[in-house]
Amino acid sequence: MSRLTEAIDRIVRDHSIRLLSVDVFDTLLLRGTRPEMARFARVAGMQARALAARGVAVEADALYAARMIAARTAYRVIRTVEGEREGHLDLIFAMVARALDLDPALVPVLAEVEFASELDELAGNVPLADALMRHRAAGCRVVFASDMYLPEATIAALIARKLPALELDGGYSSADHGVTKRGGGLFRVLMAGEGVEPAQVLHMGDSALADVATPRAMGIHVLHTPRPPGWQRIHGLRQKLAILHHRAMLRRAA
Amino acid sequence: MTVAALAMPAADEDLEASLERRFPPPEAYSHLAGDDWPGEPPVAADPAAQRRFGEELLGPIFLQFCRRLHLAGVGFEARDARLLFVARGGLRLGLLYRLWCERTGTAPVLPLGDLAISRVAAAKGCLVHDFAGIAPTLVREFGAGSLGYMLRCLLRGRGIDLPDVLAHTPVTIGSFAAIYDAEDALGQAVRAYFAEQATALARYLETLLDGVATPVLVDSGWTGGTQALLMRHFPQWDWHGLYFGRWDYGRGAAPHFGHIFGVSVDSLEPFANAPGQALFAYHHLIEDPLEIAAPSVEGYRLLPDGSGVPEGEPIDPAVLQPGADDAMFQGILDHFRSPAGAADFLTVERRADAAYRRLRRMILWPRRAELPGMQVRPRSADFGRSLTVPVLLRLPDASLKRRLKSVGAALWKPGQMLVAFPVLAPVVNGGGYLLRRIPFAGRHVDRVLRLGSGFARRVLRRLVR
Repeated sequence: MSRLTEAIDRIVRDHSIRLLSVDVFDTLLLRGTRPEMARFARVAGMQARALAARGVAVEADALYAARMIAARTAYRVIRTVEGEREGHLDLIFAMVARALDLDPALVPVLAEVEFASELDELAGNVPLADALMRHRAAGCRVVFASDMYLPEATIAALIARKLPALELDGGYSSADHGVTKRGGGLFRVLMAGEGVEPAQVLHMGDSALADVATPRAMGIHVLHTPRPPGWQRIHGLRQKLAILHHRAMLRRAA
Repeated sequence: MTVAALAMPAADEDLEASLERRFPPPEAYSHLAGDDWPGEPPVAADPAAQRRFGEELLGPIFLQFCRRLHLAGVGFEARDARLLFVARGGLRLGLLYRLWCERTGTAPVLPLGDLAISRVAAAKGCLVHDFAGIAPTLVREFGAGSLGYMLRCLLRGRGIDLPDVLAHTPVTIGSFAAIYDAEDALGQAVRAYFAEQATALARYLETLLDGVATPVLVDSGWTGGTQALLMRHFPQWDWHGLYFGRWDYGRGAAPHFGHIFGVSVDSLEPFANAPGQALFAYHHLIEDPLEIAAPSVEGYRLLPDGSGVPEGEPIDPAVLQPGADDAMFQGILDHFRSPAGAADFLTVERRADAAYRRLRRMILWPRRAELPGMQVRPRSADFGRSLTVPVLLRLPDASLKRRLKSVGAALWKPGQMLVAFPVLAPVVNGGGYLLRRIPFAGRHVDRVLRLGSGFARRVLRRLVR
């Protein structure tokens, strides 16, 4: 039994936990070391091909640049909820379509490609899923909580595809609720939805702020599950390379 | 203080002229205080070079702003929003946005309008509701001068005379409160004036924003002080700002920053648009071309029918067009009207990126030959004051002390460095610029440069002494 599952068992046993909440990306579903910017560039290439197959010619660089700017903008202008705000893929793609004069009817095509790309990038964290299933069988409810621009249904579908044996009792995405884990609002929504007190919840995830500091300050039990240092180093290096690639893209035939 | 104490204007001058004579702008308002800087700039502006500069560099940057503004507008669809171009600087942004829409055949994503307001007008209109909150702002702005000068600026055109003693009364919250709370004629007049301002501003906004839930202000930037006042005192609207740039002046994010978006540049996003960060070293390059030949809105007045309108004449749309000394803005319009003005999204982004990179070098490491094209008009002080401040200073003598002071005081320091220390400037400016070009070292370089400049300043100050 791994240290992670031992820690979950211990906290559940010692604190009368009724609800297990788990972060999704880089916790329940593990990404490779490709950083977000590089993922966007890859997705843009796939989207350009998908659009070309429908007779719409759009440069991959244009899709990528529009996505970058739309993402930056969407996070700043989307409606605030209780003082917090979170991007949503629908708004981001609506902006991309407007920037590139694409027919809005093509937005679902962009979203499908995004989903396919995510599926390709992610791997299920099987040991963690096994531990969650054990506790669920023992009577704990298990839900996911994610700070992400993807809606709950999409995240649930990704989990179902990557960890088909894992059954969940629900999920909460910041994109749908407009509040985040890092701000604490999503945990309030989650506890209200599940009818539990903070002391009855164990949340686990990789982010020091969103998955540890904020829920701990709210009285929720937490378990930090960071990616290994080697992964983080490679991820950081690839992030820098992605920024250089981004600059090179902008300088191409300026 | 009594009405009898009020000094009367001389028989042959009107009240406004008398007030201006008796409560002049204090020297101490100027960061050039105590020096006798010649009025003419050290390098004559060259309108042809300015126009080229506007077309080649500012044009692509403003074009990118318009495209991104349009994109940001998508986020406000279905929120009963309206884009309001804020007088004065925002009005030319509105002209550019409409021109871009026209050139590309794009329908604006939101209904458009103009908002006649300024920080001083908003502060006046909100003071009556929140004296304790707004008085410190006024005191900070006018703190170096006399209470008489402050009241003269704030009450301009209202026919309220002021006692001479106020010319020697320092501006403090206490001294202002003493006038504001006084039961004498002056106190009543001041309170009545601010109460009228509050009613007139509220009526003006009610009429302007009828049917609007989300007013989205568009302006050059930077901290959104006016928007912060509106957010606090008119919470019935969900105020947002889409500014060319958002700038924290190194003070960190203010509470209202969550409702402000720096569409083109943002000081709190150091890696989002790295070359654009250089604009904070010479932001007048953005502000000056947007400056129109019309007075700032200094307050509001109530009409007999009870509605509120901005004081003064409505701004003539003709002043939005470039005037005789508007070569940079003319250049920007040239770019918008050229084939480049209708370019696609990616091309606009790439051209803007190239312009930002060139501009970064020119701002941080300018060459002598570039100064005539980059020099903007003397900048006017804000908040109802009537001072103008040149961007580059001519040195009246060649003393080291004077040259050092000019660099410290100038609004564009690398440019002034070139004027004051032509031999040393390439080393200092070039060194700073090249250090900033090191990939991923931005924050560390900033810290090193700050420490270095602080150390150099201390050493030079000691040498000068």
